[in-house]
Amino acid sequence: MTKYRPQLKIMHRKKNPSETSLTHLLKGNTSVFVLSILKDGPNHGYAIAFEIGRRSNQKLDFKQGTLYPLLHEMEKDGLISSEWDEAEGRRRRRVYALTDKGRRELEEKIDAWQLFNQAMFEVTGVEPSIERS
Amino acid sequence: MIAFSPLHELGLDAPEHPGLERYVTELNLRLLGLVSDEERARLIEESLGHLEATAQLYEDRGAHPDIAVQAAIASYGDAKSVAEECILSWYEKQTVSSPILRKLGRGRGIAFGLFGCADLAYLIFLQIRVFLPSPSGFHVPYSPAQVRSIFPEPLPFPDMTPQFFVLVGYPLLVPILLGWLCGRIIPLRATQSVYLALMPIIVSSYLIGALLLPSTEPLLFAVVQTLFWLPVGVFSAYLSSWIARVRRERRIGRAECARPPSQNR
Repeated sequence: MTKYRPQLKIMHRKKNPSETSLTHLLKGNTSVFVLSILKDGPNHGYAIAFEIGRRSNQKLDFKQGTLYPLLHEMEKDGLISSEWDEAEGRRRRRVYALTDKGRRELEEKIDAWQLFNQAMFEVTGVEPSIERS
Repeated sequence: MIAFSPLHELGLDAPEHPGLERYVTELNLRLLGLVSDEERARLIEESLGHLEATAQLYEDRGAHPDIAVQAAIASYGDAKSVAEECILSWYEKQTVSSPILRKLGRGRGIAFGLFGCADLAYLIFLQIRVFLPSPSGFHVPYSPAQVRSIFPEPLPFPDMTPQFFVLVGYPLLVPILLGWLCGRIIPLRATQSVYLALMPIIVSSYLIGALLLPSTEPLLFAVVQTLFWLPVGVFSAYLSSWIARVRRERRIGRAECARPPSQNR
């Protein structure tokens, strides 16, 4: 399980238009982010939610409670598996892990995204970059 | 322990902060009867663990426990939206095995099935009526001209047979009854499901009506569907789902009232 130190945003602020577009994109692609995080090893919902925020520099802001129905849905689809992780002195947690089907799905989705990125670059001329001013 | 709290039922330890127990109690009440007990229990346990961990993180950074819990709930999402997301996922995806129904959405599939069957039944009835007219009629004390002043063209001439009552009564009752049924069966976005299901049905009715000309009844039926079935069906579904939602919220309200005054913060 990955060790993480999440950076939390306590204050909620009004989103600018590009952030709103990002939220719309996020809605259909949260499963890809979940699969990408689980590719690095099994993890529980809390860590997955904060890892999405951390890796995206808090650009992908979403209500974390909506992640669990998605995780359950993905488990029903066979993309991930889960089991309870019980330990003394703390509440038990459900740990999720990637299945072979999930790994294949992730590869397919990443291939599709790469194609899409390439097409976007060719059409708009805007090169995808990590940091934007 | 808060009244209606799911913690005892699920065998969970009470959280340190009552705000978290209140949250999972509300979440539990919103999910009761709409998702399976197993799914509900799992979401509540995971939510509680997640909220506790987030609140603990804020507390470690020096936040007051009350503020930490509020911030944890704000980042997690209010109980209503989390419950709705869970119900939607459960109803539209998790319990649906048919790939077509998953793509279409179960709610829309149900609405399409109900209204589609009603539409088909009526079109068949119209065709039977053309080829097998009713031999027995009820006599009314009006002349055809007087009747026509009440039922002007292009409305069908009221022949006062049982067939006529079915012909007029059926399209009037169907959107009210089926819309109501959809509102009861479909737990979320019932009006949207009815609207989206009726649109292709209406288009197909116009096409069939045009194909069956010179008999104008099927085309008239398409007009009735546009002007009556669509608004009445959607409104009936809205009303029915609104009543169901109010009942659920009253249940939640009763749980709130049953809470000891010291916990009403």
